[in-house]
Amino acid sequence: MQNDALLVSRAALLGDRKAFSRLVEAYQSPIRRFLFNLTGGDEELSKDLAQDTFVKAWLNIGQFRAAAKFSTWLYRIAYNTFYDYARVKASTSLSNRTLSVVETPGNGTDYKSAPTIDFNIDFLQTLKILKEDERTVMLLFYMEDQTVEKISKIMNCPANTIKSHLHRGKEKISKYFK
Amino acid sequence: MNEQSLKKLFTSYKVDIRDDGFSERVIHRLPERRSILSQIIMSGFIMLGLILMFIMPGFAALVLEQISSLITSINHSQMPSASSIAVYFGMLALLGTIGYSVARVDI
Repeated sequence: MQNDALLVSRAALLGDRKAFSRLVEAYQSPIRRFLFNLTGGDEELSKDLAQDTFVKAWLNIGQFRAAAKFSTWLYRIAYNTFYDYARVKASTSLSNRTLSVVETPGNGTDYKSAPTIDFNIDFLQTLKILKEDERTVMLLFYMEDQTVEKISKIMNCPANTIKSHLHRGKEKISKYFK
Repeated sequence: MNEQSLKKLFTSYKVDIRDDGFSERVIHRLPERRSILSQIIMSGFIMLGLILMFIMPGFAALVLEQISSLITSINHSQMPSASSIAVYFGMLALLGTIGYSVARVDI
């Protein structure tokens, strides 16, 4: 967003909550979606992690450098928030809960509405065959439209490592659907 | 599975999530945070005030003289002069305002 820089400046220099609120409104959907898929469809957990992400962003917004895009910085916080949680829980297996989603994806879906569609057979099950890093990279690349360079910054990994995860992720999914 | 099919698979599950009060809950949860600009302004004016106090002829002498007079009066169990009391409470008010501003500013 072109006015991201202005909103970030206002939030950082003036502590402007209204400006930060506009940033939250703009990015709540992709961040919640990213965390939802990372947590294997745990809606409440992903909502909590998303809230934590934005609170951390608020507290550290003075450290944001305009050299990177705000969305990249936000994804990085979301990624770190999820993995901090995962380390604390000391469990790497994702939950196998059914996702409650209305309608077809892409239509402004609210997770709380009926009827229930079982995604486990499809997408979430597909993601489960991947390792955590592979899953993260595949989600960021194919769903969240991030480039390899940006994913490298988000995950604090060399670009070649990201490409390896992408390659392995593609292979596993291709085999799964054969 | 080719690149296009993979992209199609992921984007077919790319859901837009409605806000439904999420942003509002986040904003209510945000802790107080001092803004950088207010800290800079406050520090700048404190420095300016201190510099003015020392370079302006008579100002430091006036304040110090009144404070000295206040202390002397108290030591001799005498009622301090009105100007000494005024300076004393003025200093207290100034320090209190500065402290409140530094601790609480959130524009």
